[in-house]
Amino acid sequence: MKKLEIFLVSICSFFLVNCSTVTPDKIKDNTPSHDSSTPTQYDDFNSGIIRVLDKGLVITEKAKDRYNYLIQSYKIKMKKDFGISLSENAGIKKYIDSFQNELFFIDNEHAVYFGVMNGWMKEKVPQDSIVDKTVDKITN
Amino acid sequence: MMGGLVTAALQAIGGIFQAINNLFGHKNTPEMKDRDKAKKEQEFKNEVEKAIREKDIEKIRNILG
Repeated sequence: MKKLEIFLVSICSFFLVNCSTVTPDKIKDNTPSHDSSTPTQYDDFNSGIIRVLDKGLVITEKAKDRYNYLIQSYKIKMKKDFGISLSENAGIKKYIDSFQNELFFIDNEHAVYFGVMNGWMKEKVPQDSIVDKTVDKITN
Repeated sequence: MMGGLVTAALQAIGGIFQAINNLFGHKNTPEMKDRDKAKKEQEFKNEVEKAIREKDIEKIRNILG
């Protein structure tokens, strides 16, 4: 009888531990990536982020291009999931640093969207379909 | 007699699995998965916002890189 109790408890414990909802966790990197458009005065393993300011981030040209590519890829998904309408260079301004390098400034709000869309790209979330893009162009 | 006992034991084990499925099976319906995914998305967005608010440049670089 004791053995049967142990057996039943073991089975129940196994299912309690293993029967949780299964969705993949978000991908998290632990090293910054190389950015070839970084001016020589800075370390180029910076993921395209030069500096953090109060109201946003100073980014490189390649980082700005990546942001615009992400907007192209996930514009409709952003609208569906968060109700945010993004267009090319949204939240971006030119920024000249103390070495007279031409860089870019992205405000905090759009930097968050950049992070969210970059997370989708890392997870290979399907990009907006041509049908969705066409419908969006017609309706807007 | 012996066959009856084996059948009864198997049925009892089957019943246990059925009960466990009834208890926990609902957790993996498509709706539950969608909700869990949306929750993880929101948590990730909050994490990005927190890193930017706290000006944690290392974390921001890892997220945006």
